[in-house]
Amino acid sequence: MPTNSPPDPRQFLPLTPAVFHILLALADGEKHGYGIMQEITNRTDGVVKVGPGTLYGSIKRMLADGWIEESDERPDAEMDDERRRYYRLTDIGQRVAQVEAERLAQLVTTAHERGLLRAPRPGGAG
Amino acid sequence: MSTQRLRHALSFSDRMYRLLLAGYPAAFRQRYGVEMAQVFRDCCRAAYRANGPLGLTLLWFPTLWDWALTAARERVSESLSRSNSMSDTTALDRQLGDVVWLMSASLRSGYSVLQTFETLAQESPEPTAGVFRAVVEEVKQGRSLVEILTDLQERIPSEPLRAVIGVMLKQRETGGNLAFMLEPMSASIREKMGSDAALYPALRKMAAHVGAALPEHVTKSD
Repeated sequence: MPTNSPPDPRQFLPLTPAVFHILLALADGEKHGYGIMQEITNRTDGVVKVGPGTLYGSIKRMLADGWIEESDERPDAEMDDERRRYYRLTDIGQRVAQVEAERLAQLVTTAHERGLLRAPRPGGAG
Repeated sequence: MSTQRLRHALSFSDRMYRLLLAGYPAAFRQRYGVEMAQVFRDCCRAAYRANGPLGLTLLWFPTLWDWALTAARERVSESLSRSNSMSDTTALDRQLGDVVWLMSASLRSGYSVLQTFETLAQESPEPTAGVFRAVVEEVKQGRSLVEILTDLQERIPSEPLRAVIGVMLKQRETGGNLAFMLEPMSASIREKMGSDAALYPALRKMAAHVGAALPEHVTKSD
């Protein structure tokens, strides 16, 4: 009998906003701490800003839970500071981010159905 | 001229932030301190380039907020994991059965969840006091209780406390009487984890305060 099946990612939901933003930032590739912060700030037009304490407190817990891991590779060794540590998503981290995104999408669908959100504009991005 | 001012401003902010890092537990600081200082330096440089000295000054407000919140959180987290590694049944777990009983009694007497947490933070021995002190502190700093409890549930190394928080979060989501939901948990946690006599003086005081009769095992210890 299998004894070490992967954990059900739904047991970790809901995620804190900071953790979900960090997982989203790493979804398209590995990044260092400041890269993660910049990605979050740019993606949210500066509405969400994660401070160094929140960032590394979350990184510590996600490393411990195996959702992310350190990467030895450097995207560009010439241009990059070798002291920086890069982080990337693991398979379980990716699954946790996926189920959280599905949970939030379900909430948005419900909000649409209850008339709390306007329908997407014709020809718009949605 | 401008480069020199930038260097001076960055160097001052860098020194100040490194001092603040002392507020984090040593293990956390050793592992992440260099990276945090480097990230903060990057933020300072970007803020200065965008808005000059004012930008750099304004960066300090969210940074201090972030520091106050996360340094306290990491200290509590570290003290909890240290106490957890000392024995299978932690001090927190041994206190939890009675803490849950008190929460239930307090809520039944009409006290709010936050008032109950404040009383526990003030009157309980450690480590219970530390956990509730951190929660109350974060509520006062404007975080929602659901967010704080979710966060606590993620990082706390105590299974029984995770279960208690799970019930509290469930009640927030679906409604229902939290006092009655917690009541049966108290005896079952105490049965599994035992009880901590260090909590009894505080328990007597708080029970008198909320007008509740003490559980039998506490009265027997008199």
